[in-house]
Amino acid sequence: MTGLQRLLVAGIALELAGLCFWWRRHSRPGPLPQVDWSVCMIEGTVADEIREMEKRLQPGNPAGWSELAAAYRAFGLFPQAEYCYRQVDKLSPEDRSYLYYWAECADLMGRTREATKRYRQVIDAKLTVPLGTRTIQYSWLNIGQDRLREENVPAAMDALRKAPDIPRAKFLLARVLMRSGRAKEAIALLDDLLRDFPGVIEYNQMKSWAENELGDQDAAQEFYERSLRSRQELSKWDPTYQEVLERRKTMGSQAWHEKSLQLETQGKLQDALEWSRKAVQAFWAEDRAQELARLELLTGHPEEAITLAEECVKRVGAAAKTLDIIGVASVQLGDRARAQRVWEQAIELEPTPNLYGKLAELRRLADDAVGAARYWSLEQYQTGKDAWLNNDLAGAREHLEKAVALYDGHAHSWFYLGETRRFLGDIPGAEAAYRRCLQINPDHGRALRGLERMRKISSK
Amino acid sequence: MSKSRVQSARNRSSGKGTTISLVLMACGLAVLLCVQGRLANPEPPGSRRPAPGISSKAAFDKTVFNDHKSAVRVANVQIVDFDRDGLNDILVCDSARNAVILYRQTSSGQFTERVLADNLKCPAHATVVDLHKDGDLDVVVAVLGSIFPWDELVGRVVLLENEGDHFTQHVLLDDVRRVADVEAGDLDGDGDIDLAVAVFGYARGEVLWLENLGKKDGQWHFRDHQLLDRPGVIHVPVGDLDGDGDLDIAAVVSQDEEELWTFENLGQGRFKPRRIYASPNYDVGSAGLLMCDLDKDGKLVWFKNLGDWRFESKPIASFGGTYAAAVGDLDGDGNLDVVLVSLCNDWSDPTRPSVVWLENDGHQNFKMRPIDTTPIGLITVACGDLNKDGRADIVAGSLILPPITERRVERITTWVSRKDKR
Repeated sequence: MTGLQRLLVAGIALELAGLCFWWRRHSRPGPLPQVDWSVCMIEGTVADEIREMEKRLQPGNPAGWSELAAAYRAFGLFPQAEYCYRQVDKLSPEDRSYLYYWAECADLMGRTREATKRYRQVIDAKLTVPLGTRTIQYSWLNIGQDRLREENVPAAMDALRKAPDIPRAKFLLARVLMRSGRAKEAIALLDDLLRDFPGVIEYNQMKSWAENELGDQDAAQEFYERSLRSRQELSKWDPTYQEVLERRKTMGSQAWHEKSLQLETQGKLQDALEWSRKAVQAFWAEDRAQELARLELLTGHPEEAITLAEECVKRVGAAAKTLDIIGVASVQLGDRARAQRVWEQAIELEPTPNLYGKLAELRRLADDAVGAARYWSLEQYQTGKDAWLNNDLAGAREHLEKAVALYDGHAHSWFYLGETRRFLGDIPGAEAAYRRCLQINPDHGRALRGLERMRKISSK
Repeated sequence: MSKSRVQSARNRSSGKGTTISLVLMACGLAVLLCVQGRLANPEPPGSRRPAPGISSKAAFDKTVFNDHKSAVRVANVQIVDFDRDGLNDILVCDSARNAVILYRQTSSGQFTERVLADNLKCPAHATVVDLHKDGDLDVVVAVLGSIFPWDELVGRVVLLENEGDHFTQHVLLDDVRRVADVEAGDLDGDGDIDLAVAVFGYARGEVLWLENLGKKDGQWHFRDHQLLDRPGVIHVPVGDLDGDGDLDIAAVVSQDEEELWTFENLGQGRFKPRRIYASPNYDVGSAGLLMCDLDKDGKLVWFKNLGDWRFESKPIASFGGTYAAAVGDLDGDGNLDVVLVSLCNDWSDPTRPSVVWLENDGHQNFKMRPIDTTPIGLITVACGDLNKDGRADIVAGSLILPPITERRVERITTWVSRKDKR
């Protein structure tokens, strides 16, 4: 190739590059992906608000596109949100604050490669929005998660290792290590996590599985049992999901529901009632209807509360909370028999100390001392079990001892008392409790296993 | 489940995430695993629409069962001749009504509703079995306790004992997390019927088997044994996976773990667990597991030749939002076909199907054919011969959590094979 030819090729290449650059900056995007509001399962009031935002949008204003994108994103309209972020990118390329959200949209549409490209841009630009100094590490976490979705384990591990301060990244890494036959390395990571978060269910659970892989059955059992006495769950949500929830609270009938809650905390019950009613009329949901019924109770309208609660039962079936409202309203109306009936139905669905306490009180008022004692015992059992599940063993023992003192014929009370005593090192007490449990229910598998474990420990 | 199953943030997408079904072949018995969400390839070809056109071999008449009062939250449907009158009936677990309902087929082909129980919080699955061995069919119900994700001890296993004119309830297991499935079989070889239990829970779950110790003084006695602790166990089908004459158990684990387990029956109530499949993709979204002899070869030798308890996986279809599968001979050619229903396809596109069938060419090559685009939000499906024409018909149920007004949602729908297509 002659020098002139080289020059010509270089010139053409330069022109093409320039043309590409100009095209990227000035080309008109395709049309906004249309939303068929009639089939998208979004409530009408929200759809109206979004349509209004679309109308108000000034196409040259990047902030307007960002705002619209956030609204679309909050209601799962990811193709539309992605389109908006593309517009922001064209209008205001130097402002990179939208990049992370743009990447998330690609992720949520299953476009893992595209998402990774955007997260890489976040990392390269060393952005601190929207998650502060952890934005970079969250980007690596998301890249790692995308590689897991693609079942590319080595690339996933590489990415996850670059997010050492994000517990979820460490946890995911522990899982893949364990499944790759590297349980020891997994345990090191899990120990780190447990040092900072001893009450997270999943960390204890996975440590139990890792110990099991290594053949240490005692340690596996110990961490399995710890997982049962933990209540903290590892969040499955993206860190930006809270923003989504907050935005939803500001739109459509959810905003009216939120306003009602706020007014109630200010003691403005009548106003709260009005807003709650408006929210329920616009979009019926069980929790909203229960809230409205509760407000009707608080404002002295038990009949209205019962009507609303019965509507809940008709629509989505009985729930303990709904039945509780009917019970309270029935007591207000002087119908204790109905209150007892519905509260008894409620404890079958979701037993709570509060419901047992109410039933005990009803039995006491009916001069049924035995019945009252039984319900008080179950109230103590539920409170004790709750403490047990929170790993508050001293509190659990106190309530469970009271439970069996009030009524000694409930197998689960004795089982949890046995477990509690075992964990507290009271071996004879635990054995006695397990034995009593098995006397009441000889087929109580967990009590049998508890007794067996205790025997093993004693023999050691 | 959604499952009653929990959908992760990732599954909030509008159905464009692809879905894949796997057949884990074990020669005679196959395990059909439905998964929802994304597998290795984020958007495999063919995931959006199946082959156009309804097969000339199968056409259906559609009927809808709707009470227009309650929300649409059907968790399970089954086709079974419950009253043993020679006509198949439909058994339904309705989570909005907290009920197990029998739709009994009359001789005129109509269905009449009979509520077997209406106080079970979110029944997820009902297993029909003659537990008493008295000739009457009883029902064992897996009670979730909450349709929403929850880790509390609200699950139950409840027996509805058939007493002829009524059903007596017995709580066989309580103080457990959300129970998603119960399956019956003689698991310890003592001649009575035991139960395998899938405790879905949320963060914590487990696989249990309940040893039947008989009925004494009017009370049923079952002793619980733990086989595995894993969250999100959905189904626990029971069958002879290794051909040694006893019943083994399989279990599908979702909730981030995404595993498939088998429990080899070693006799006398002892089981050997094996993890036969695990995906690093925590977002797979496993939704169900069926055990069936898909290739009808009944050969157990092939399995052994593969090596002990080794399974070969073979994807058979991609269908957006697949949540349940059923097996039956839909076109009457003697081969077992597969019906898939979709919980969360991209419903903003009204052409996307919610029900498809996979035509089996007899060599386990499947061709996807659409059946219908409505109703949407289908979570459960069953196959069985409803009109006694020798072909499998279909019943499916929808579950939609937000109580929205959606004209394309129905509680229960049947697609009965059209006789002129025989």
